[in-house]
Amino acid sequence: MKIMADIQLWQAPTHEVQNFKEITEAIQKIDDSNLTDGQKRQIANAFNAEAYDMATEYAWKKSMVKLKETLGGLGADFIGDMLDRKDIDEFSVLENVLSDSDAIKIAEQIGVLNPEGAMLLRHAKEQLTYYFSSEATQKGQFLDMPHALSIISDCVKHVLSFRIVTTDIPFMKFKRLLLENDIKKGDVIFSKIEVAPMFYLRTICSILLSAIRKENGAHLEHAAANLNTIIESIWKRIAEEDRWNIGNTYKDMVANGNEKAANGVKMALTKVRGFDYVPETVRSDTFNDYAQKLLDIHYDFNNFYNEPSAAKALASLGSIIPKEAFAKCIRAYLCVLMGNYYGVSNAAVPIVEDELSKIAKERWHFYFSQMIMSDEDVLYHFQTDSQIDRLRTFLCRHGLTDLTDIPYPNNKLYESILNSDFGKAKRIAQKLNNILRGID
Amino acid sequence: MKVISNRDAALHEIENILKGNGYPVNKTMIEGVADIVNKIADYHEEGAKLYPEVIILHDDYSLKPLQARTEIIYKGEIRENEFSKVMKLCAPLAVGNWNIFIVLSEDKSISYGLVSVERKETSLDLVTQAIDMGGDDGIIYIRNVGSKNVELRTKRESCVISLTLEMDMVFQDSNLQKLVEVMLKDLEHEEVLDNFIVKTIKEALNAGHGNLIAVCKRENFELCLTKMTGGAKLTPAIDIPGLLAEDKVIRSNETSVAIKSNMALVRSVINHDGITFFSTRGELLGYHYIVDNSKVGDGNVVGGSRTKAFEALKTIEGIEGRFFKSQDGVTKYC
Repeated sequence: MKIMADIQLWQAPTHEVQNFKEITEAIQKIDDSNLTDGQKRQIANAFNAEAYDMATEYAWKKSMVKLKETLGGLGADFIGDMLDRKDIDEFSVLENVLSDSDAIKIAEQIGVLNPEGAMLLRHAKEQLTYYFSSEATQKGQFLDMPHALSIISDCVKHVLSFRIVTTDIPFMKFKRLLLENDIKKGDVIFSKIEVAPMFYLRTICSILLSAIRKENGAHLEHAAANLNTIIESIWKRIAEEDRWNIGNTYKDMVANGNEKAANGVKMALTKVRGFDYVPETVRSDTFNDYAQKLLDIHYDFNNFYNEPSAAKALASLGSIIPKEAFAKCIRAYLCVLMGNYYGVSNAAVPIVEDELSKIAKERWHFYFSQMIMSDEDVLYHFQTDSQIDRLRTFLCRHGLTDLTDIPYPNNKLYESILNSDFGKAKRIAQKLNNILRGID
Repeated sequence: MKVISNRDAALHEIENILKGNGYPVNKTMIEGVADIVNKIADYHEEGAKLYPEVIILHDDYSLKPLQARTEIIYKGEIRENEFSKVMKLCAPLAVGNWNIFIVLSEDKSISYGLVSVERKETSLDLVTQAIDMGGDDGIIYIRNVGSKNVELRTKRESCVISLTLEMDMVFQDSNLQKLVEVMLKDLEHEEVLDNFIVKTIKEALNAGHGNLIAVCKRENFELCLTKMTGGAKLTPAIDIPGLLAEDKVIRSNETSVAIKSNMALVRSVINHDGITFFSTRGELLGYHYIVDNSKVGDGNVVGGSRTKAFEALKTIEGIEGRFFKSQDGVTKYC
């Protein structure tokens, strides 16, 4: 996996370490700042006693705590802003409010994890979720030695073998650059932002919007000035959801009476005629919150059991999804519909299918044309033939097989889903994911 | 008979403002806006004085940055006396946080109705959103700034059309700004708080019949009271900055309602007879105080008892700022 150097704004660590063949090899690589010798021994003892689930859970938990602590160094409110989570503020304890999946997502965004590491940890999480479920227990399936070693290896390789100091990560340097200077057109950094992939732009927007929301004085002024400088060159390339985030920040600043911050965003939105992206009501906040809850549950332990009630709660808000909440709602519904490697929640699928069937055809066209390429979560669900087949079945069952004029390469993805060419669909989803991250 | 009128001068100014902001300039438009100015200068509805604010815009899109809720009353061709109809249909409803909008489109059609820009108690008010903030969208904002004085404001200019021969021109905003500055001088705070207090007091002043506000350090309040009679001390004082800070952290319905209900009280208190006391940390300390004004001016001070009380406040030790608004809208700060 090669990240295109000319569009890199901050760099994630690379790992040359091979997968470990034995548990002792893996444990030796754990940095002393992450686990004590006693804790390392506990993992080894559990593993050697064939208590693979215990050893794996311990290593996983320690990895997630480490990641969340690292993210905490950025400020919990900043993490809340990056995730568009209003419930996370400067007083939140990330360990309590941040799901493992979100921690992995943010860690990748700020370059604490590289894309490969993030992908492997997502897989690891999915395996753990399944093997710890009551469904796996009922089927008599347990985490075996190779799977356990693989998960522990990934934890060590990408998290536990490092002594991560938040202030040292390259992202922090970039963040300071954005908030302590006025960028000018023609600066090297401006040229890089001009060609940066959507994945980086999302983070840049989060940094600027978070500062506009929370900071005063020079940081606020630099953030507003920089948003105004870059907005025209990035507006057409940022995801729908990120445009709504900018509009939402404007709405909140006006409502909070923060004139200086509101003014900064207003000037930027004026430049791109972007006021259509300012939410007209607060109704969308509830949809977004419920959709986020459904997504969190989808990625969490016992997801098949918990998804139905969360899906029902989202559905109960009404079938007309506000346009500003559309991205998150369709994402949550599609993730539940497509399920994961191990299957779907049989009780949740009819609920989400019913809700998805109420979405107008034009909105589906918009989704496949303008949104799917920035929907990391849904693209991640193009892992197995059966996941893609569930989406295909839904599209066929609800007359969504004749959408035309979808731009390339999204049209190829859409066609390969309908043609049951699952291998091709997976490759295109991977390609879209790579484009999003600027990976060659 | 010689008739002296400032009508021509006012129409000329209105024409310039319309032209400068890209609106069509014709008799209907100029006289229509003049009609609005005339009505707003002294607008009463069933005996009550109202202060509707009006914004004129080029298109519906210009409403979007205003975070507005709108109720469209009419949309179509401009009919005879259309601007009079705007006022007749909309002005009585323009109370609370509702105001009037008029969209004059390029295709010579008009739409008008009511607009509310308030989503929360802390929301920026209409003039801030429409005029003071950035962008240049040709919005014209019209409001009463005191008895028989109407301001027409755009992003580039401001003009007060005065329909009175009073010497004291009314500049409520700058005096109010000075009052709020002293009200918050001993508190480290964000700009949000200034905007909020200005908005709250402005709403109170619009609804009142004259006001007197004094500001002192919290620790000097008792000293000031030795020169006062009557009045009521609020226990506890209404801590406006505290209410906002609490809402910022907790962001619950309860904190929002607390702001709403306390601000209703603050507005009522400001409009009660007598002097209202605030601290230099933004707290409402007490109200309905009377100051002895018998020794004021020795005949040099012209005005009613409120004017004399304002003069008397200047002599009281411990008071850091005084604000006065007469029944006919003249404001003073010292």
